[in-house]
Amino acid sequence: MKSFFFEILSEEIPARMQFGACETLKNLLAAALKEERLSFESVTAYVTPRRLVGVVQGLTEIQDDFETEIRGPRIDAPAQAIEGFLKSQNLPSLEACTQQESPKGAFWMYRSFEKGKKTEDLLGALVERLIQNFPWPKSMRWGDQDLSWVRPIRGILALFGDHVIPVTVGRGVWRVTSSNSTWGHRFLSPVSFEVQSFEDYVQKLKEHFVLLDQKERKQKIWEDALKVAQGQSLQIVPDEGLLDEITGLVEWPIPLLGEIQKNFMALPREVLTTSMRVHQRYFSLKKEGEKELAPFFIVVSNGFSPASAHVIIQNGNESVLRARLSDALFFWEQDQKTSLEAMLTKLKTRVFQKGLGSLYDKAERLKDLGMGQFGSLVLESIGLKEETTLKQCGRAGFLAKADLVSTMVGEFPELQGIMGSYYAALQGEAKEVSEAIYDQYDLWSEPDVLEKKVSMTLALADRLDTLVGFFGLGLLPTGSKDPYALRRSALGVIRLLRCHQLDVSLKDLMIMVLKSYQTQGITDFEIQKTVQKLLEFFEERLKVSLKDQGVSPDRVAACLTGTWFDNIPRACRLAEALDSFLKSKEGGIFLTVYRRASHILKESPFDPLKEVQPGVFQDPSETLLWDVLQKAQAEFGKGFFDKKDADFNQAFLILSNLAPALHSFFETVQVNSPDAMLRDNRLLLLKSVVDLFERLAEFSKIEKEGGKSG
Amino acid sequence: MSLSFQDLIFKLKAFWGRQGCAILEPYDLEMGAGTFHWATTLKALGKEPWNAAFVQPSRRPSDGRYGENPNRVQAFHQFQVIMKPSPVNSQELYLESLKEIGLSLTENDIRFVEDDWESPTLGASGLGWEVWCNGQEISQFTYFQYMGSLVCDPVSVELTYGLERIALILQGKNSFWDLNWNGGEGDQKITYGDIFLRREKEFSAFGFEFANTDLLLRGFEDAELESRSLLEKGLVSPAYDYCIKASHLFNLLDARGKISVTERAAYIGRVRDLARACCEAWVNSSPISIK
Repeated sequence: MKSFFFEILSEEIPARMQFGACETLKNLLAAALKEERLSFESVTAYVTPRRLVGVVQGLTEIQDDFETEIRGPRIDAPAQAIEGFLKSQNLPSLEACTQQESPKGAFWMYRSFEKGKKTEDLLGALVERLIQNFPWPKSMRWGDQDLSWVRPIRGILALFGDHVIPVTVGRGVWRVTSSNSTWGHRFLSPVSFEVQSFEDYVQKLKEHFVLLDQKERKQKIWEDALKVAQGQSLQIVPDEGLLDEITGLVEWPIPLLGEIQKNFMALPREVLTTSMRVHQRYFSLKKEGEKELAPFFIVVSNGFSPASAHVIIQNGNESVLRARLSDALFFWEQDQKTSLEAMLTKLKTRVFQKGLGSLYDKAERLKDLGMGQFGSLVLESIGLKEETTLKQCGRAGFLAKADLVSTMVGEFPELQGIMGSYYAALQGEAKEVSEAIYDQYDLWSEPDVLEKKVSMTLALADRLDTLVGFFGLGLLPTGSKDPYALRRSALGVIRLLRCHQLDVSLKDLMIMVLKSYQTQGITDFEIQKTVQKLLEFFEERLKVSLKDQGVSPDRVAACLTGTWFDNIPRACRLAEALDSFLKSKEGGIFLTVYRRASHILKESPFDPLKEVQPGVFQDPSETLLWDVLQKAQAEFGKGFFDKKDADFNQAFLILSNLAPALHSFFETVQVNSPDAMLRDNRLLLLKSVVDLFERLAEFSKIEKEGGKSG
Repeated sequence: MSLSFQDLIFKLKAFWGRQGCAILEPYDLEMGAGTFHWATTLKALGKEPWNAAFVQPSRRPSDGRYGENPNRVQAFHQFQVIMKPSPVNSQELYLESLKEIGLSLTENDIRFVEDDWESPTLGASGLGWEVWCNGQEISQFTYFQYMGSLVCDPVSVELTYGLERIALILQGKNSFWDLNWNGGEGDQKITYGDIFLRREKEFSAFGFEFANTDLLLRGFEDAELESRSLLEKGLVSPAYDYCIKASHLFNLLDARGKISVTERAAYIGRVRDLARACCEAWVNSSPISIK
């Protein structure tokens, strides 16, 4: 056993693709080795802005032998068939075959045997295939090559033990052939050097200012940046995504401190962070325990050690940020000269979506939904009935999209909602209103989600307005294509409904939204069809969302067919209860007797309109079943399900109490009795029991192995 | 003494001239970027090698700030290099050129940051980077994959230097207007502001407030018509001129805020169709013979 590793050196790989590429390489490499019957101990992968590296430890030196049995035609088959078989296996005669007896007669059998080849003879082609088929999210061609990679490939290093594995890609002057050497840091050590082994490679890279392991690099960035911050008694505003991105931008990280001119600190914090994070990839800093940002930032440079360079880099970065922030300050002051109402008028010429009117039309719909029936229904379902809140919902809806024409959002689209919220507060709107405008796109990053009723109503109305509109136009997501992010919108609706336990019919809400489109005369959607399609869409989304929670889709399907199919919080609680019930021992027993009962009912014809006659019972087990059934019916009858917080776990317990009686019923009586009257009565009794079961969930949708866990 | 603006241009021309590029002059039409110069757009197509470099004054009416912003202007200068096929050492050549103009690679933090360049009006796209120097974007580095909606084969590399921003770094200034253009001192000094500030103010007002939109709209229609009719006669080069004109007229209309979002997409589509027709004609026909 030896270790094998290769490095593909390329021009700079986009940061956002690096971690994914690393995972992909690891998986593809392991799969390729297995396919080649090359055993190994472990596979790892590393990535830097310029390198993608695969490492295999404990790789066998000889491929596993390959033995396989191929059954040919019967020995008495026509000569043509036998000849065909020999040809297909590339055999000169039947000599290499043996005869094998089977119940269907004797057959020719060929045992092929392939001796394992030397690993080193297989690795080159394996790596070449990996390169040719590597699934980059986006790849490119260069020069006159027909090869594609994320950026031009400039070098390949491939070592098995201390032996160079020949790998070649490309042609002409762009042709790259493997060797045992690589290059150091682009600027700090632009020289090539040879390596003997993977350990040697990692060590030498360090000497040449490249920290290979992305996890180590990430750790180092964070720790060193913390030190820089602590030097000023400041804290870094944590930002995992930014840290990941920076890890993909540098091979030798050195964090440096920069200062922000005081006058820019008047800008909203989000404007500062966006400029720093999105445009410049800087960390923001703050004083311990304070929410406000401190007038400093940290830039992580790609490894410049002389102090003279630090000053130049700091000054450079400070002046870039200064230019960006002066632009932002200009927009901030400019926007405050215009009221949100004035901005709204400009929305009249901004199309929301062709066929769905302008953004101004949307604003009016959101206003009407917020303060009208939609808002009342939503708020009442959480027991709130306040005129003020309702008015605020309407106001927030009306102003929600105004900032899309502000100069700041024009420049920083990621600040949509946030700027609107600031401008709303500045022009004296209620706190709830400006809060709701802020929260509309991403309510979930806010800690007190549950308290924010206006935010919730607006977020719900906005998403449903979009969903209903696009579904009305027939613009449904297909396969992997979801250009309007409708799946995300639906998931947002589900989260909102569940989080606030809104005891409300989704269908009713959709119809209200549809009507608001109609009122505007924008469109004449087919109500029935649109609602139907949307509910199906929500069912799929619900399955996905509950699956993440460990509830399998058949449970969800079983719960969505009943009475509360469009009451999302209830359907979810029911599915959760069903899931934990079916995972219990009682659930397993219950499912077995349920299946037996529904099987019998399916097989036996009877008149479902008749009623059970207790007088006809012959066996005590019939009477017992009848008694427990009636008891259960009575329990459910007491408005059990009308309660908003109906206890579904309790409901399944009630059902499972019927299982022993049903079981002994099956054991003692013959349902399909020769006596027609007895038989019909027993079938009717069974039918009543199954009907009761199915009031809760359609158990027939539960997949077979589902109930076995008990 | 740091490099003056004009010396920066001289140095880049000399450097790329030594690399075998034909040093061309700016194209004498208004355009948004050097990519519109026929020496890029049309010459990026077809099999025959092509290496050229030139300064292209570029106009983007929407970026005007009446001369009040230190580094945002409606007219600026790009230095453009196009090489087909892209050389193996494109990146190294570029970095070499930075050293040539006095930008130390060991004292500045140079990065290649992902940027997938796209020009919807030209139907062009490519993969590459923004090049950053201490956090400032100074160049665009692109391997063309499509031009005029046609596949680029072989692939060209396009290097676009933002001359004003590079000059800011080299001269240690904070505002374009303070840049030393000619390298003179005292009475002899001519600044960027001396040359362009008045133009910037007037063209900002023109672009945002006073450009006659009826004329612009009519001009767009006319340019489109003329381009189409010239294509029918096999006159690709002048046809492409009118495509460039249409594109600039659209930019002006856009700055004037006379184009709604949906209309915008339609106008861009019309320019793109023209660009495609020109590019297709360029690739598929040989020069016409003049009697």
